Amino acid sequence: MNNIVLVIDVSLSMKRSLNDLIPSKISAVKDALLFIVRRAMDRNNSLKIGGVVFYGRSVPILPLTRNKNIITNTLSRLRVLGEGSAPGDGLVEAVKLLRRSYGRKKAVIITDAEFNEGIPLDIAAIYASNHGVETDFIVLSEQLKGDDLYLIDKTIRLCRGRKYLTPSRNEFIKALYASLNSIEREL
Amino acid sequence: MDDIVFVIDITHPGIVSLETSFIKRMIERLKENEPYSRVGLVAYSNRALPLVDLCYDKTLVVKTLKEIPILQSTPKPETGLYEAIDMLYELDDKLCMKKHILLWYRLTNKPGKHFFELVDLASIEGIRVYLFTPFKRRPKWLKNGNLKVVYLSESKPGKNKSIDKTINEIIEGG
Repeated sequence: MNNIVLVIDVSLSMKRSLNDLIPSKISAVKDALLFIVRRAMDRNNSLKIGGVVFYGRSVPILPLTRNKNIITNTLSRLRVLGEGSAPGDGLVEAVKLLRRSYGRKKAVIITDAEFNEGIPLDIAAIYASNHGVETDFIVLSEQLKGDDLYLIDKTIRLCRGRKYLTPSRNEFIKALYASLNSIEREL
Repeated sequence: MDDIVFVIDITHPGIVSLETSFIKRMIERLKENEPYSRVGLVAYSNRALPLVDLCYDKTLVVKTLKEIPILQSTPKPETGLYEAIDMLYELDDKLCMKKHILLWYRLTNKPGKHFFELVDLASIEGIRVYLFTPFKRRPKWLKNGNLKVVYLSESKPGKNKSIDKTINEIIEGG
């Protein structure tokens, strides 16, 4: 069984647009997820999807499931929730969703960075790594700087993940597809 | 076959070294005498940081202890306690005989108002909560109730007989 939890940034900055990620980053993410997640599930019969959103805090929104209707309903209601950006909290919540599941486990963090709150990402990464949760980052940004870059690089190193910089819709879709399908290919 | 969650304060280097030496010693004893016990690890500063879910791999806890940084802030033990109860409750495999939470706190300030409610909740769930502290002076707000308070010396943790006594009490249920 392959298990993936989507950890989605719903902080205020996701309301802004970036290049062709319009009218906002969150709506572009939502559209792409609705399309790609279905395809990934069709390709992989043993794939379960779960969901967590984060801003200054994190909220689990979708338990691990193969029910496409539940997944579609949940993802179609994604919206910006508030200030702050606490990806560490999101990752901890994702590990909690994954901790009772069997098989491969992966968290895919979709964010525009600017982390400023919550559990430090590198400590959350220790928890994820201890439980064999691979962690990928899909970053909606032209470039990463400073602490964000350090924390993401440290996390993917600890959690055997990958980092994708996606400043356009096309690159975001490609990265999402690659991240969701790699759990199957790497078996 | 016990479930034991260590809840450690990571706001001060002094207490972290005490916690680490105690946990290492306890893990050695568990490996020898209780190989089928499960251990978990939660750290806290001003919030809880789960690090190792209940598992049989005791070396994972020791390995993780080496990686934890100090996060200076006002410690909130109630957050760690809540996380530990949640872990014991959610990962209950119905096989364990006893459940323990071993929580470290320097007693520097009164914990949040839910702390003692959580201790009582743990008791209702059959979980024994131990509070380890290096300070002998007992603050007025610290009531015993369902909480077992253990004083540990900060100076020579390796030679403190009360550590062995406490470990025996926890492991053997004496």
